[in-house]
Amino acid sequence: MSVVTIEKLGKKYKRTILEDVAFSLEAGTMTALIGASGEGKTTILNIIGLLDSDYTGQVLLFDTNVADLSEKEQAHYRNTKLGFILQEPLLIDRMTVRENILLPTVYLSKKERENVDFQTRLVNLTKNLGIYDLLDEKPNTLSGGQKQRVVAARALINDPELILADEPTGALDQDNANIILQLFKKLIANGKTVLTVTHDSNVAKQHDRILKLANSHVLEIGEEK
Amino acid sequence: MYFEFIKNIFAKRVLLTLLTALTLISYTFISYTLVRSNLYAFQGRTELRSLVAKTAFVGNDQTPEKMTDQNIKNAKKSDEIARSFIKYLDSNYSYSMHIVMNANLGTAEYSIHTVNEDFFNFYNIKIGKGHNFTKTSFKNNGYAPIPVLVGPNLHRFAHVGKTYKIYNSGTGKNEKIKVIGILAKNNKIASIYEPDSYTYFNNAIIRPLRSSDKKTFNAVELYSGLQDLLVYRTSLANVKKIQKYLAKRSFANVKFYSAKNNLEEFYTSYTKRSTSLLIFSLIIFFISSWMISVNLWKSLEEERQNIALRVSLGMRPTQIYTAAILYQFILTIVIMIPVSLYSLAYSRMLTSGAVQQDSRLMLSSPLPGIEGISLLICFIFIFVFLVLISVILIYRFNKEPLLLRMSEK
Repeated sequence: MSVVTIEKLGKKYKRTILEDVAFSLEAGTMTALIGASGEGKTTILNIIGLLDSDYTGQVLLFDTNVADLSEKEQAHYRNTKLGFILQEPLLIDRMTVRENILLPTVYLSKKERENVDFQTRLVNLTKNLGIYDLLDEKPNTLSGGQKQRVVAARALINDPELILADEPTGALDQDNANIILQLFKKLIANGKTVLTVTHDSNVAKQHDRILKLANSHVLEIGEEK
Repeated sequence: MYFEFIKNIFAKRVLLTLLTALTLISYTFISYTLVRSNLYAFQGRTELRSLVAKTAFVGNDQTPEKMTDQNIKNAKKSDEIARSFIKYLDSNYSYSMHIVMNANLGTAEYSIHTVNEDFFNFYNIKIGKGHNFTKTSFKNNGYAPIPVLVGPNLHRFAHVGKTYKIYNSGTGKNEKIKVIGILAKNNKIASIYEPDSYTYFNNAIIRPLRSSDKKTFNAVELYSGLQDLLVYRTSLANVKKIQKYLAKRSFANVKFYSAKNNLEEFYTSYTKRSTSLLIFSLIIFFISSWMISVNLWKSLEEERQNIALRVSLGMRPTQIYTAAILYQFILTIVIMIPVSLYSLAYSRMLTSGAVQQDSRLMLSSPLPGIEGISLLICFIFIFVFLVLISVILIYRFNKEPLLLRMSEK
């Protein structure tokens, strides 16, 4: 099953950023997207993440053309089907770790919230990521690696199908980077899909596929695994 | 979801938010005063239309205090003048007389309003229970109890058909009264000189100026009755004769003014005062607008990434509008609290305060019509204004896509 299908994707902002980009991501795969800075990797993540609708071409998410989705449906997709992990762990400083992780659940409907035991999921996730003891801390007391694990837990709290990760290990030491990569491997084993933007060839090599973005186009450069 | 957003985004600048709220509070006080005063002035103008229609002239007592004191001391002579003056008025003029005297009843205070029959040609006094005066009420021979109308706040007297004894400081006698009607709540009459001020009758006893009362009429009553004496269906030349009559007997110096001119003069000066206040309120309004805009815009811009984060987690960009409307609703409620408390306290103070000579503004309920309407108008205006500013700013904010700034920038 194709989780993401991109056809003839184009984006211009002052200059051509993306042109005739096409690729697809299958369920249960882990794909790395590499390329030089400013090539438009983030733009692709924002488009797939339904945050940027100013493009040409077609983007299908779970076989649905995202252009046909209403604002409400797009928000629901972002909330339940997508999870974002960024290089800079963006957390809300005024909230505790627990509140940060549970933030996506706030945007679920009451019925959706009642159908899942989020407390159990929170405990399991944070124990797996080694941040259970930090639940009542504020983000500004955490290390970079801990913050990134909190971001990962937040991205997974609604059990999304597709994880969009932008340099998730870029600011981490080897141990913390391994924790994140191991997490991704567990996710794909459970049928989830991961798209990672990275500069690190060692990280890229741990993915099923590597796509390279160059001169506004995406090229498949191999299946490393 | 919305409260979290409001707390962490819109209200994150606590000091600026407080300063904005304070500026808006001062604005609400000014706009509330302005709206209330204008509504009262408009209502007063409507109510006093009958004065203009009936070519009424209004008496203004400008008697020097010394003259009044001397005449009251020399009661025998001045009371005779008072009685002959009433006869003179009855024979030559159509007039409405309204005498106001205070009285005490334990701790509860009330005022006695003695009015002649023509008073009801100008003022529509509504009865809540019982009935109004009849023609006979004004021709009472003086032996039967005096029929009275009682204000709804005077619970002790509020029993139709019952008789009581009260002291009338005007006549200087204890009077036996019979309650024939209870006034409806908030009966009021506009001041002829300042139509945005009212005399309320909630704590009043209205008694008729009967034929028999005119026979015992005295100077104290006349001095009270000369102020705002309404003489109608006549000419200025004719009312000047009244002036001369009283001046000749060294009793009073009463000047008569055309009700029409008087009202026009009031509204000319009122418009000027109102405009000044409006300009002042607009200045405060613009300062508030600027502060709100700066506060909102800075908060939104500074939190763009956090808002984008929320959007990436499932919030809809349009929900920022909902959060803003909710925030402005809460802010408006908070802003309106001081002015509402002021309005309540003011009304209560008047309700429990001493009855002044003109027994003005004795309110029975904390927020009668115009006070409540003024608060509501202010609330709606401020809320709409705040929402409008927010909507414009959020529209501008949302024009730039809420993208997550990832590793590239």
